[in-house]
Amino acid sequence: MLVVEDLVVAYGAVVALHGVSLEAKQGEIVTLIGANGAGKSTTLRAVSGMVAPRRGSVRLDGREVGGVPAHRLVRRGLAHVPEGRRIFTGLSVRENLELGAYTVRGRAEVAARLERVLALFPRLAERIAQSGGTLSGGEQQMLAIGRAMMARPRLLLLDEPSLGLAPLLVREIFREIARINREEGTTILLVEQNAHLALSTAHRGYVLETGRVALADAAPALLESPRVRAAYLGAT
Amino acid sequence: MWTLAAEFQFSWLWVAEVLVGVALYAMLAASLNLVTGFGGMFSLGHHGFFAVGAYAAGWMASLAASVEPGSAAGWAVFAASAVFAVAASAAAGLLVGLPCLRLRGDYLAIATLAFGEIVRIVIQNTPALGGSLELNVPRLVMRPRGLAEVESFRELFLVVGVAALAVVLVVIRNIVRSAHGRAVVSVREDEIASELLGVPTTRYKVRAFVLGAAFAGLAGWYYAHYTGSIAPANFDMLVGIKILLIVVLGGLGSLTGTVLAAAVLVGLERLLQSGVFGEDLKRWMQVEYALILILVMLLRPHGLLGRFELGDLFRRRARGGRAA
Amino acid sequence: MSPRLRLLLQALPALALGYVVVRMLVGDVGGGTTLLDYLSIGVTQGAIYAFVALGYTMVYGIIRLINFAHGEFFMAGAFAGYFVLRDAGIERWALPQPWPVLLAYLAALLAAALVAGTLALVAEAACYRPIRKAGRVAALLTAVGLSLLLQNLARQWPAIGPTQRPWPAPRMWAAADEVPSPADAHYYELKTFTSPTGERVEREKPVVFKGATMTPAVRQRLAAEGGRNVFRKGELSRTVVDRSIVLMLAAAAVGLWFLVQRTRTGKAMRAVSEDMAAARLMGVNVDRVIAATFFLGAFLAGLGGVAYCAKYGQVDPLTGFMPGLKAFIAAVLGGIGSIPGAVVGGLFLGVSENLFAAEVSTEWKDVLAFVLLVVVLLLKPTGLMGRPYREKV
Repeated sequence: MLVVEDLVVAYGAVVALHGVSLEAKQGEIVTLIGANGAGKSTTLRAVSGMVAPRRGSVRLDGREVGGVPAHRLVRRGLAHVPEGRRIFTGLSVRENLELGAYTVRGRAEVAARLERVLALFPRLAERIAQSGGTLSGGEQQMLAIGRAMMARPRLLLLDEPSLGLAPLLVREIFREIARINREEGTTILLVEQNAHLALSTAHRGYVLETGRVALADAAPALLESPRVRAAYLGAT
Repeated sequence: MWTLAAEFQFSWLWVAEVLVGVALYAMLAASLNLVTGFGGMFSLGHHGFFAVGAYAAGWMASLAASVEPGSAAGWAVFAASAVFAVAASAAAGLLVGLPCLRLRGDYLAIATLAFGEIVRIVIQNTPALGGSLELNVPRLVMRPRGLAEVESFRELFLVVGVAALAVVLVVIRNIVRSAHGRAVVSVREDEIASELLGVPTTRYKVRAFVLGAAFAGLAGWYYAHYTGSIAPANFDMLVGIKILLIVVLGGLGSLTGTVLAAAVLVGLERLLQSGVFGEDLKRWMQVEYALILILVMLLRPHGLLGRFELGDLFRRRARGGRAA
Repeated sequence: MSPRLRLLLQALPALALGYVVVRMLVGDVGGGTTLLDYLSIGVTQGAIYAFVALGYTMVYGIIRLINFAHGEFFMAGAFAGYFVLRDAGIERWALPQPWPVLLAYLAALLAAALVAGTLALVAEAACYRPIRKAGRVAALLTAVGLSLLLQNLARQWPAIGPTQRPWPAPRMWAAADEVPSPADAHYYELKTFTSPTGERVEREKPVVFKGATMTPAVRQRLAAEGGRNVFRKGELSRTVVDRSIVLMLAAAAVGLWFLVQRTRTGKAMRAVSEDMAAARLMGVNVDRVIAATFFLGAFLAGLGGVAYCAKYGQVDPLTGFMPGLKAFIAAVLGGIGSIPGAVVGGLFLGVSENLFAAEVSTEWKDVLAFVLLVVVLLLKPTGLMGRPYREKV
C-alpha cells in the first residue's frame, strides 16, 4: 500500500533523511522507532506531503505522491495525526471532528462517520459541545485520532500518540489503535518513543538512526533483538 | 526639499542636494535599525520622533529669529537646538517606550504608528508650531542669497550631515559591539532565554528605543535647519514607511547596508524626479516607487545584504563562502 | 468583577445602541444637534468603519497580516459603484420610482463588492502569497507598497484621475409628456458630443426650469425621440442612507457570522487561522481558504466604499486612506482577529468620535482615535472582545 524508496529530505542545509526505504502492506501496523532526531517524524511528514522530498519516491497504492501537497493526499485515503496532536483548541469537539471529514461531501455521510468515531471514542461523545482546548491530554489525543478517522483513511500516520500522557492512558490509546487496525482494517504507520509499547502493538518495525534505516524486521523479532534491547528497550 | 529648474539638474548643486537627502535618510534609518534591526522592536512611528526633533529645533530657532546668521550667537543657538531636539525626542521616546515596549510584535507596531499620527495631529492643532501650515525656521548659520551662496550653503550642510551621520553610526556600532549591545541583540534573538540568563530585557529595550528616538531627533534638527521651513505633511506615515523600507532593504541589523540602501533609494527617487528617464517615467514616479517596493520585498525580502555588513561580504567572498 | 456586573456593563451599551438604532429606523434623527442626533451620526459612521474593519480582522485572523491595502480595496469598490451609477443607465429603466434608483444602487453595491473582491484576489495571488513565508516585516511592507501602488495607479489612470469627484445624484427619468406643466422641478436631457481630444462626453442640458412650461417645439422633439429621455435630479435622503447603512451592516454581520460559524468554508477558515499545518492535514486547501478570506473581506470593504461615498457625497483616489486607518483602529479596539470585535470596535469608535466632536472639539477628533488605540493596547492588548493573549509559534 505504501512504498517509500531512498527518501532524502532536507531542511535548508540540514539533511534529515539520507535515503530511507520502507514499506507498509495493506492491514499492517508498522512502527518506526529510534532516538530523538533520527528522522521518524520527518519520514511521516514527507509521506503526508507536509515537506517535499529532495530525492526518492513515495508511492501510495502504486502511484507516486512525493511532493503532492498534503491537502490532496487526504482524498487519496491518507490521514496524519501530527506530533503534539494539533487539535483546534478554539473549535468544539464536534467541529474538530467535522473538519476531519472536510473532504467528504454530504451531510448524511459526515453524520454517519461521526457516529462511528464517537462509538470508537465514547468519551468524545460526552464532550461533543466543549471546545477542544478544554479537553484533557488523553481526550485531546483521542480527538486527534478520531478527527483523522473521520476521513476514513486507508493509511493512518500516527506521530507519538503517547506524548505527555499518563501510562494508564497510553495503554488505552494503544488498545484503540490496535482496535482501529483490526475492526476498520486501517493500515497504520506508527512513530513512537516508547519502543516496547510500539513493538508490542505493531506487526513489523523499522529502527531509524540518524536518518537511515538501521534495522527492519517483524516486531516480535525486533523485541528480541539484542541491539534493539540495548539501545531502545532499556535492557542491559 | 527644494525643486530646481531643469538646467541645474546633475550639477554639483543638484548632487549636493541629493547627498544631503542620503545623509538625512541614512541617519533616520540607522536610528530605526538600532530599534528594529538590533533590538527587534518593530516600529512604524519613527517619523514621529523625527517630527519631534524637527519641531523642537525649529521652535528654538524661531525664538532666535533676530540673531544674525553666521554670528557666534547663531552658531550657539544652532548647536543648542541640536541638544534640545535630541533631548525632546529622547524624552518622547521614553514616554512612548516605557508603556509600549510591554507590547509585542504587531501590537507594538500599531502603537508606534498611533504615536506617529498623534504627533502629527498635535502639531497640526498647535498654532505656536504653525498648525497645519509651515513653521518658518530662521537661518542661524548662513542665509543663502543667490546661486553661489545656495551652493556653499548646501556644501556646509553636507559637511554637517556627514558629520552627524558619522556620529550616529559610530555610536550605534560601539553600542552594538559593547556588552550592552550584545544584550540588546540577545533580546532580539530570544527574549525568554535572555530573561533566564539574567539580562534585564525591558531595560535594554527601552534604552535602545530611547537612543533610536534621540538619533531620529538629531535627523529632525538637521532637516529643519536645512529646509528652513517644516510642515506636518513632511512627517506623515509615508516618511515612517520610507525609513522602515530603507532599514529592511539594507538588512535588519546591517549599518553599512542601511547607508547603502539610503543612497540607492534616495538616489533612485531623485533620478526619477529629475525626469532623466523621460517624462512618462517621471509622471508615473509614485507608481514606480510602489512597484519597486513590492518587487524588492518579493525578490529580496531580507534586504540587499541581509544581516551582513559590507565588509563581511568581502571577507566571505574571500573565503569562498556564499554571500547570503 | 462579578459576572453580574460584567453582564450589566455589556448590556447597557447594547441597550443604548439598540435604542439609537430603533430611533433611526422609525424617525428622522441625525440632522439636529441633540445627543440622539450625534449618537445616530456616530452609529452610521461606526457602521461604515465596521464594514471595513471586518476585512482587516478576517485577514489578520487568518494570516496575521495587517493588510494596509484594504483601504484601497474600499476605494476601488467606491469607484466601481460610481461608474455603475453614472454610466450604466439603470436609473433609466421603465419602472415606477423609486425602483430604478434602488436597482441602480443595488447594482452599484454589487459591482463595488465584486471589483474590490477581485482586486483582493489578484493582490493576494500576486503579492501576499509569494511573500507569506518571508516574514512579517516583509509582508507588512509589501502591503504598504500595494496600498501606495493602487492609490497612485488610480491617480494616474485617465478614467479616474487625482481630482475629487462629486458622487452622482440620483436621476429620476421621465418621458417628456410626464413632465407636469408648469414643471415641478428642473428637468434636463443628456447630450453626447465629441470633445476636441476625441473623447465622447456626456453633458446635462436643461430642458425646462422649475415652474416654467416646456416649449411645444422641445416637447415635440422629445416626444418624437420617445422613451424616458428627460430627468430631474433627486437627492439621497440622509435618513434613507443612514438606515440602509445600518441595516446593511446588520445583514452583513449576521451573514458573516453564519458563514464563519456554520458553513464548511467558515470552519476551514477558523481551522486555518488556528493552525495552518493541521488544517492542511485535514485536506483543507489553505491557499484557497486564504484567498476566499481576502475576497470576502474586500467584498465588504467594497460595500462600505459605496456607503461611505454616498453618505459624504464625493470620491477620489485617497478616499480609502482615512476610513481605512480608522477601520483598522476599530478592528484593533474590538480585538483584531475577532469578527464581533470588528463590529463592536467600529461602532464604539464611530460613536466616541462623534460624541467627542460634539462635546469637546472637532479639531482634536482625529487624535482621539489614536489615543483610544494606545490606551486600549496598553490596558487590554487583545482588544475589547479579543481572546486572551497568545503568541503564535
